[in-house]
Amino acid sequence: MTDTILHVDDLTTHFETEQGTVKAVDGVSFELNAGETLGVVGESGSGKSVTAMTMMGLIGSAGNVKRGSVRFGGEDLLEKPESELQKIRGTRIAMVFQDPMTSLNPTQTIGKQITRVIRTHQDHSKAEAKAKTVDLMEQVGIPEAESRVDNYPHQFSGGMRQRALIAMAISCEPDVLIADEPTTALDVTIESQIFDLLDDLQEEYDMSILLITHDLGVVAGTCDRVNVMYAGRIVEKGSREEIFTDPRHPYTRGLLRSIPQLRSAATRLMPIEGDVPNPASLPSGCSFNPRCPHAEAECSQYDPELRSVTQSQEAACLLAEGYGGTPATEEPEAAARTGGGDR
Amino acid sequence: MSESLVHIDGLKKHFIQNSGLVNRLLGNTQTVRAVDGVSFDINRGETFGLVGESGSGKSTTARALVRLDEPTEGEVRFDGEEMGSLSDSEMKALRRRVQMVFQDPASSLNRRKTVSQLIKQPMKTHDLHKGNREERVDELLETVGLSPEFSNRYPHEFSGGQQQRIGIARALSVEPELLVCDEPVSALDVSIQAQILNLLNDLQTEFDLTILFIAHDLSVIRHVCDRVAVMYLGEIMEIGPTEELFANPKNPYTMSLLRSIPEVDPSLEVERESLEGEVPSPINPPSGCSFHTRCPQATEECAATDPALAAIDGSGETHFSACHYVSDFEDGLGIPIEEDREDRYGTVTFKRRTS
Repeated sequence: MTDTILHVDDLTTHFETEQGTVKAVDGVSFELNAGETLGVVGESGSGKSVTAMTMMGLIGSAGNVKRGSVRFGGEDLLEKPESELQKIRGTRIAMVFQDPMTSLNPTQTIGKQITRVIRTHQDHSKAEAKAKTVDLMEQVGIPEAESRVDNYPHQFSGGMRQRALIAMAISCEPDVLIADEPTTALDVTIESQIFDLLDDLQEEYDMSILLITHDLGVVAGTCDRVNVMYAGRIVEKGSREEIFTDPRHPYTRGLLRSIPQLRSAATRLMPIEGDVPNPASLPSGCSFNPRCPHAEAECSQYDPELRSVTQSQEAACLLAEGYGGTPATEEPEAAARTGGGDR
Repeated sequence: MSESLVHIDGLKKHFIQNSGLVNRLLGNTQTVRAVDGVSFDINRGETFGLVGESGSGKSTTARALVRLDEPTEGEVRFDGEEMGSLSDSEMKALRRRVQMVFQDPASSLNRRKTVSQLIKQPMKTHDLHKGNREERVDELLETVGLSPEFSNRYPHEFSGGQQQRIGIARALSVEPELLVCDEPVSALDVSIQAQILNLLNDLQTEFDLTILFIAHDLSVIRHVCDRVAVMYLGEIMEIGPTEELFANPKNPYTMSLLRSIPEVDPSLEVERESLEGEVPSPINPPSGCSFHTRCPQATEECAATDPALAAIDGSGETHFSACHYVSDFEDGLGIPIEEDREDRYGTVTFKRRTS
């Protein structure tokens, strides 16, 4: 039942900047199961988008993919040459980005752009591809598709542009859809339409969705499982129910508490104090320790790895309930070297 | 007690598109009705919320209020004075009393000026605190939770949340009575938003501020506002005390907005209800009620006549809705408050177990 379709292991991507090495993604591992929606949630700079870009081989020369593997269909995507990757992107794994305007070519009609995606990856005549384009546009809920194929992106609203991009993404019936903040630029009423659409498409094509977002409300409404990221690491993993009802990592818990909830009357909110750390100079030990209300001395010395806290939930916090195998017997400094990786 | 500080009556702001000479000669100009007949009062000492989707006219209303844009029609009174009738010097004096905090702190701070210069600028403009401006800067920085040591740094050296604090300190430097906050937290990270909202709340009490708070996020509005107006296509659809409006909404648009919010709790078995269609173009708004093209309850009457904003029976002239079928909506169609919600994650303890 839980077939793993994508297996990410120890993914590590660094960027060299003037301020030093930015460990944008630092040892991220997770599985994406067939047919599920996995949420990756985190604030800006947490590494969630870089994780997705690395998986798809889209990091380019600025970044340095230091190690890790992305197993998909028995092969490691990171080992593949660009030509083969290009074939996989858009046929078996597709991607939808945040800002639909910058993902579209403003000088070409929407129809032409969708048709080109179809003809790049599939063997269709021009006429067939055009007919398929109209079908797809109807399927993603673009009204009057027949006439709107000839519209340019600026003639579409933000919601309709995102639908057009989704049409491209599903044109080859991919196994995996990576959606990076697909609704962040849209109004709430349009956002819920887009998630309804993704839900229907997921069922129809039996897709797995990797949903990257900063919005915990979106995660609560759409995801089966959740990875919470902070400063380039996954700090907590669990099912949607576990994350939202029994968060074990202080960061997850802090985030949930800090959000103004619709049903709460409290006028005082409970923020996480301090600021998101500068990725070029992360604090020693656990990256969250300077902001953590529970931090103890060892938290600034020892960088905890992700470990099981229940049968299905994992957290990277020495103090988390259920966090096993304490390093209490080790010298804190030695522990920092062995357990904390190269940080 | 509820003394009106701002009185807006029949405010309209229309923009002309294609206003070049050729287009004007050919009669090709188009009118964008960004704000189309808005009236409300902001009472002294309250936080008044304006909420709506993009293009609803909430920011344009605020810009007309601070006179960044000249209204096309209607009046805006501040403390009894009609803004349009003021002389330049009277207007300048009034501008001191109304200050603004913007959405994107990075683009609203001049990056070539130090924090100290930025905060001093409004004091210079209004010729205030001559002689002790340095001390005033330090004091303001402390008020917004920043160390005075930072006063000689430049904006880019700060995080988004800190930049927003600088923007707030600058607005406070001339001791305004009204603070207009246009989406003050929507560009910030989730964990930082609550810090800024709490700060605004504290400052309001400390300095006796009146706040106009513009946001698209209804959860934020519910936490910070005393009264709220819901806007759609340049018009107010519903206005009332926040709790009343959230618990007992009397307009189908408010109800749809409330139901489209993604709530941070999977155990709530509320189906997010999607509103059909998109916001129509303000160049050619629908006939009758502007919401009728998307309203699940719309009838022929809704397409024919535009309902006026009318008081809800029994609300004592505090709660108004613009809907022909307002009497069909019983109480309790909104989202109730749940008492123990804040304590949900309060029981977990983080302790190192000795093994």
